[in-house]
Amino acid sequence: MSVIEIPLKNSEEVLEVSLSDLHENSNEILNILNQEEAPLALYLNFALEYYKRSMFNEFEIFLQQGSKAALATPDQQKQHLLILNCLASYQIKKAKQIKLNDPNSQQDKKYLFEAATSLFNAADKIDIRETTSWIGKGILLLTKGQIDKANNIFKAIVDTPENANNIPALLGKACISFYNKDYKGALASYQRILKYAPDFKPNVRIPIGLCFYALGNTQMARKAFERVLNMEPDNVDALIYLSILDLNQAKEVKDETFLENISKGREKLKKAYKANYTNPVVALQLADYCFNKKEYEKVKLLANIAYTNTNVAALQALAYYNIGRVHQVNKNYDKAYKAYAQAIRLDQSNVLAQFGMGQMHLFKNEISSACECFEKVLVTDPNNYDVLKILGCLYSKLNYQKAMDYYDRISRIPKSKNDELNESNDYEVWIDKAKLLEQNDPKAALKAYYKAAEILESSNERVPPELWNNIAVLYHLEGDLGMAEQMYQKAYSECSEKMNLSEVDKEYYDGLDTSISYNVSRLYETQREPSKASVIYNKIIKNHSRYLDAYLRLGAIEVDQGNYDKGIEYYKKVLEFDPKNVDAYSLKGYAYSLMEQIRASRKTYEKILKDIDRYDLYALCAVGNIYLIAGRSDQTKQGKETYYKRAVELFDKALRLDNQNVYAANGIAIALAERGYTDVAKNLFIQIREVKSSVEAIWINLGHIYTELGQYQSAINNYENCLKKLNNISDIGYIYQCLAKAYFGQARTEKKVEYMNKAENFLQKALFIKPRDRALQFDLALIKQEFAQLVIDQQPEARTIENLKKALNGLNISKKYFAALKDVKNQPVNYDVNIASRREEHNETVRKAVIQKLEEQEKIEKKKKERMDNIKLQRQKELKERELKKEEELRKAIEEEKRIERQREELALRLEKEREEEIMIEEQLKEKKKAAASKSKSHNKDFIDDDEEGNMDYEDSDEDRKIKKKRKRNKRKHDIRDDESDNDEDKKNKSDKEDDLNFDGGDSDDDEDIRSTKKRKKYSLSKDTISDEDDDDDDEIIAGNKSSNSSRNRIINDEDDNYDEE
Amino acid sequence: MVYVTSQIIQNAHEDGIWKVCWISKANMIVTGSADETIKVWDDNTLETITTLKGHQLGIVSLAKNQSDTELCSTSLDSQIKVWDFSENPPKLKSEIDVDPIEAWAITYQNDGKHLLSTSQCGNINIWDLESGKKEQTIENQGKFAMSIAISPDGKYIASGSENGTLYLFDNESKKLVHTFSNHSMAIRAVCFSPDSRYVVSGSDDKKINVYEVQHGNIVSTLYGHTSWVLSLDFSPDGIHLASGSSDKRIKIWDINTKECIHTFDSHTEQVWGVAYNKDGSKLVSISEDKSIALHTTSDN
Repeated sequence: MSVIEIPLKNSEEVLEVSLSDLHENSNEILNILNQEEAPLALYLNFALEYYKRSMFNEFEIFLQQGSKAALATPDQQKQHLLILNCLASYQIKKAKQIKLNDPNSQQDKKYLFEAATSLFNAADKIDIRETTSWIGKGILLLTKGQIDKANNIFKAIVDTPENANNIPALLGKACISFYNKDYKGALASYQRILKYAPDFKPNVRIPIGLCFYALGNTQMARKAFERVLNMEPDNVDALIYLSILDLNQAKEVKDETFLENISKGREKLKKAYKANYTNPVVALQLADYCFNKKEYEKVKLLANIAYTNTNVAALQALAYYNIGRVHQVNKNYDKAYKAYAQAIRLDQSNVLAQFGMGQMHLFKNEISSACECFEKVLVTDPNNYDVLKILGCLYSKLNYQKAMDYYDRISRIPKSKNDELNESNDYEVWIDKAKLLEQNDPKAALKAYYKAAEILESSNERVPPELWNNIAVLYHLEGDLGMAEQMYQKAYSECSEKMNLSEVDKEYYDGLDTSISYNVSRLYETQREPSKASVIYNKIIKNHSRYLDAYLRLGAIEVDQGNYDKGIEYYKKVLEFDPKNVDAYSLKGYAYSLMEQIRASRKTYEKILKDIDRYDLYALCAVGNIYLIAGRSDQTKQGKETYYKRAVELFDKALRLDNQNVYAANGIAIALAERGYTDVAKNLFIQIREVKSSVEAIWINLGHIYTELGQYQSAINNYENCLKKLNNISDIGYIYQCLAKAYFGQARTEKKVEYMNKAENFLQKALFIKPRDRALQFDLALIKQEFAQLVIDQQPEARTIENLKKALNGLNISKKYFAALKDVKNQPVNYDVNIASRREEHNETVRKAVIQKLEEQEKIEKKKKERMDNIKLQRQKELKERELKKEEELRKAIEEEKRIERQREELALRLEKEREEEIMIEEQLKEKKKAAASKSKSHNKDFIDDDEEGNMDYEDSDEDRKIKKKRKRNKRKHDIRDDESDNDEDKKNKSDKEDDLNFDGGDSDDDEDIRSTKKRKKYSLSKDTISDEDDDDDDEIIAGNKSSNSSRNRIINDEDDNYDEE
Repeated sequence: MVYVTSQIIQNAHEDGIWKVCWISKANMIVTGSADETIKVWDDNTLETITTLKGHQLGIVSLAKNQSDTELCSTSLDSQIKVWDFSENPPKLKSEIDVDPIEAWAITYQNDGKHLLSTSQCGNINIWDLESGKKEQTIENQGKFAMSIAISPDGKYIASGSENGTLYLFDNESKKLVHTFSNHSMAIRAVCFSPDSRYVVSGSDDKKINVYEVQHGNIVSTLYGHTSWVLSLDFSPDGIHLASGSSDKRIKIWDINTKECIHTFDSHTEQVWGVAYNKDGSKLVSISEDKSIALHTTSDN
């Protein structure tokens, strides 16, 4: 059709407009249409013709005019609807062209959307059921990004039976499903389109192929693309996707087909590029290809093409990524950084850009930002080996726990899929992990190193000497010196092996060899073989005259031997080589402090802070400590304050640099304690102890604080705990002294002699270590005197003659010591001479008191002994009596037996006689017999009675005895209390009365209680074990009685038997 | 030479053991402890023969006479007790009261009748054991004298002081003949070689110095202990020197090569004392860890 006919108004004629004239005559045509009131369809037709000629302005004008004309012609609603829809679609199209990254036009876009919306609204007014408008609305929503709403519309259309195969709706639905990653749903929709419109353009086989690809079915995807290519040999999409498939296959299957696949892929890529070089996917793919070929300028160009030819943010992001990586390889890091940032802004999920960005952050040393980027990569690719490794490595500096987590994750990823063990066999991972573990968990680190060695050995690779060295160092630090030595040997031999293998690395391995030698010397030092270590250090220096650490160690060894000047010479030598060597200055400062040249020591440390590193923690703390000591020895209050203040300033600085610095915190706590803030100091010390319990000083300081607070048991616990850890004998001596002081305090507050004994014990140990310390001698004298005082103050029941004697002897010693101590020739002394002299005088008073108490105690003991003897005697007497009684009873029993025997004999005799008198009257005989029997029975009864009475008697006497005992005991107590209250008359009276009142009841109660508990205890014991047994002690006698009773019963029974027999 | 620790008696005392003396003629080893007792042991079986009580505080010094018949002990209670070892079991013979810490270290004069003791001000007091009287004082304005020894030939007295100075006196004239200032810290042990040619000193500065008595010069310094040197004893042949230290170790030194030829790690706390037997085949050591250890020091 090359002509459009315009029917003229009120006439049968038509005006023919040649399509070739459209270009010049748009205004004219429009006028004619308006004048002739042409049917709306014509407006539409012309508009479409203009559209075909890309004359979009004309297109829009014709439609608008048509729409205007429609108002006058209500009978052409169908056409009007079409016009509105067309206009709306065009608004959407225009809106789409406005790019997201163009901030200035966003408002325009909004207007366009609004225009489209109002057009659809107008269409709806005409016919709300019109499918075309609904589809348009769906597309509008889709373009506005309101995916769900759009989806609802498409779904609603497709769900009505007459529109089940509405292609645009199906397309919209498929598109949304794909976007929502519902590939199966998308595939179903696309396949439906294919069924009803097999020739639909663009070819739906392309999205079908993509769906298959997304579902992992590359074979079907390939088939779909190839089918497209069969139909349209120049289809760019098919070409590019097939090319990608080929290249991917090449990457996955690295065999002989590799090159083939690559070239196949490239060919298709080239073809696609030729067909449509503006296709963004093609351009990006090509860019990738060029990047690998290092044609970076081409990459940039292609990326630009891709970027300008797409609205898809993900593709634009990829374009930026390509630009970024070109900058990166050109070391244009700032530009690369910006490009990656753009890429990420466009597409958060672009893993490649995130990775690149992470690297850029790394370059800028922004570790935590880098970690963030890499972690984002992990979100989409959780098992990315390299990223995990990088993160593990990065976090090892930032966050130990996180780093550990990453290494754990890596070590759980088997590198080859056939690995049965669920463990990584990448030895590098294990080494990295070990390095990380070294700080916090040396044992686990050791394990990891061994794992690495194992992996290497199992793959027949040599374990590098560095690894053995690291293992050895760990053993060394862990204190397993034997294993350390073995491992160093391994490192040595491996190292010399390596040296022989290649000339190139000789220098490196020579260096390593020296490091191992140095480590071995350190080991010798730990093994307390400094001379062996010195030999090696000297050897190292001979070969490497600038191996400064060896000089430092030689210096330290000399200083340790007390050869301070020699040691300092070594340090000076180091400083000649390296005038800013902090270690040399630190060690020098320490040596001066050992020489008690405090000023020189301080100057040395201060030099570090002034000239080298004003944040050197060691120097800060060292100077702080020097001020602390200065404060302690300063006599004036103001002087003390100034020194402490300076000390605290330094410690504070150190703490601000390292908030875990135990020594700085400790220093501050000491300053607090010294200034009297005991409680605050205590809490601080406790906190420090929780952080680092391995520092002995904390335990000691807590001990001091608790002593200060009078919490002696806590003090003792802290001191004793640190005593276990100390090796230095003079420190041990000092702790002995502290322990003595704490026990002394405890003894005095709790009035317990045992604690004073402990105090004495520790003090004499301290004194044995440091006999010249007169303060210790003073303390010993004091302890001896206070021991005596404690014994005097003891309750008489607790007091023993042994302790009194010890006290007396101790007082002799104490007196001697005080006498010597008060009489000093050489001032000053570290104790109070006046107190010594007062204590010496006091000694006599205490001595008298002890002697008095001793006499009393001896009296009491004597009485006690007498009483005990009495009781013993009485008991013996009683026993004897009882025995006698028993004998008597036995004798009686025997007599009785004999008597009965006699009777029996008599009876027998009589019977004989009676038998002889057989003839005598039977009655008479019977009577006689009866009489005899009754007589014997009554005898028997008597016996039992006797027995019972005996029992009663015994019990009586027992009771008697008990009462006597009680009385005696009461008396004893009475006596003592009398004596005791000599000093205090009032007290005496009162207590006497109280005693009198409470005495009987209370005491006997006590007695009873004790007895009963005793019994109960016994009972509970015997209940389980020997149920038959009663209290054997208490009832011994009774039991004896019983047995004699039973034996007696037996006798009686015998008798009965006898009688029965008869 | 074979060096083996052949026997260890744990908990030989109730507290740390501070001094040891080997009385070979009586086949006894004597130990003094912080538990205030002196114990006498069979030097072969290490069974207790007797416990000598009487001191009030820890035993700080023990000394035997040259003929192995008598032993003196001192304690922090500032008493010297003389024990008769000519009989078995040994008996207390006499007691001498001294001022506190005025008999820190003691040694017998070679006449066997006098006892030398060191004092806090550096003087050396000479006691007549018969009368219990102080007979003479060797004045020496120095620091605390912590150790004393007399040369086997009786010609010299050596005393080590708290500040590290070693003094050598002529025993006859009681005059100071040499002063050695090679140590920087207290000398807790001095000992003469059996031929009286050398005197050795062990110090808190971890070193052992060997001096030639005749010429008054230092011959060598033995390094190796990593803490205070607490005790020394020469082997009877004069070739070896045993040292005990607060580094918990016992070292055997070859006096000629100046090298440590063996280290015993038999104790868990500081080794306060070491002593050889008469023929040098055994060495006894005692420690703060309450144990006595017997070591074989030759293959006889």
